[in-house]
Amino acid sequence: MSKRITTGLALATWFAAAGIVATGSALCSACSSPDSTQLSPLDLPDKTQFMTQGVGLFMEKRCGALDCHGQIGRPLRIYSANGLRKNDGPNGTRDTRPTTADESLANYYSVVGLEPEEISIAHATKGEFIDFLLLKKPLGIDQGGVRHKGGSVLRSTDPGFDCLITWVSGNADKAKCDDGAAQ
Amino acid sequence: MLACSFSVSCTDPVKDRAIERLGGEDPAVPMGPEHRPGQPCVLCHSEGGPAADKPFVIAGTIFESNSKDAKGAEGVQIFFIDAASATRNYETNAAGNFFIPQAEWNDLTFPFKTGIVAKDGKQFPMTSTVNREGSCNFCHKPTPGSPYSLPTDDPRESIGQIYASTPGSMGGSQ
Repeated sequence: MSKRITTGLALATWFAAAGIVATGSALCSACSSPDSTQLSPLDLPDKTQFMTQGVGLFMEKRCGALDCHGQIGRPLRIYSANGLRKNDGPNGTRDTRPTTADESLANYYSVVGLEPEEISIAHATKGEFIDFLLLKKPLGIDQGGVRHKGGSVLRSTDPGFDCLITWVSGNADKAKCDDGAAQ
Repeated sequence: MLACSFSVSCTDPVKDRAIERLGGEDPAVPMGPEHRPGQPCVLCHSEGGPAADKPFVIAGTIFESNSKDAKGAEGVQIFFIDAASATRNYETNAAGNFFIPQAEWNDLTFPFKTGIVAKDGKQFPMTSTVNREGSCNFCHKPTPGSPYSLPTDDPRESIGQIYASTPGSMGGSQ
């Protein structure tokens, strides 16, 4: 009986040791650094146009409400003066400044980071490729897009849709963006 | 144990945590239409909430001013127009609370517009639409330092309490 227990313990120890070696090996493999020479630079839509040609404003007004994308827990986080702020104001009050450059920049990264590869293709093809979430989500299923929890919030004929298309294509149409923001 | 695991798996942990953060009832206020001013009413008054038997589609609180010392404003008229052009008008109670039971607007279609009606009939609309949240206080949290403000309220996530410091004026909104 005692020998059986000893044998059992020995086997258990062996399996445990083998397991540790295997796990360690797998972890080592998983932790190895990616090959930096294999990175593909992305050709993203222009940051300055986003911040100065009304694209960011359109996103703030139409997507950044506190009950939509102006929420910390929601994908495509959008900051704005009238929605989610990046920082507190003085003494823990609300920041009442207009949307800051820092927030606008964060919004840009949020938008291009939604599907970086796809939006990069769209930019490279100057809007020929439009099969990406930034355009499909706001249409909702009703307008030929994809399921959007906030429903269909744009039509493909809306100035806001043109705002996004023109920006992704490389030449943001400020008038369309302003119209889209005002709707 | 099995029943417990079923019970846990049938709830929404995000919602449960949000409700837990609201804390207990104020012992000085009986549970009812005037309780918990400033809190996101629909959180509890909806499916899966502790007040699911009294579901609301829209509810909130209007304060007398934007001050942290402000109390709820009684008798303020609020109007609503939904995406299907249906309209409703409600009035705040003594606590400043107003609520629309689900049975009274079962087919509410988001987004909707809202605003306050002055005593002379002039409307002060909120400049943006309400897109999907029925609890007005979800975005319009009480002013920090107010007795109605919760320790977990984050000013970054609040556009400020709704208030009517002069008849019909509406503040803290877009």
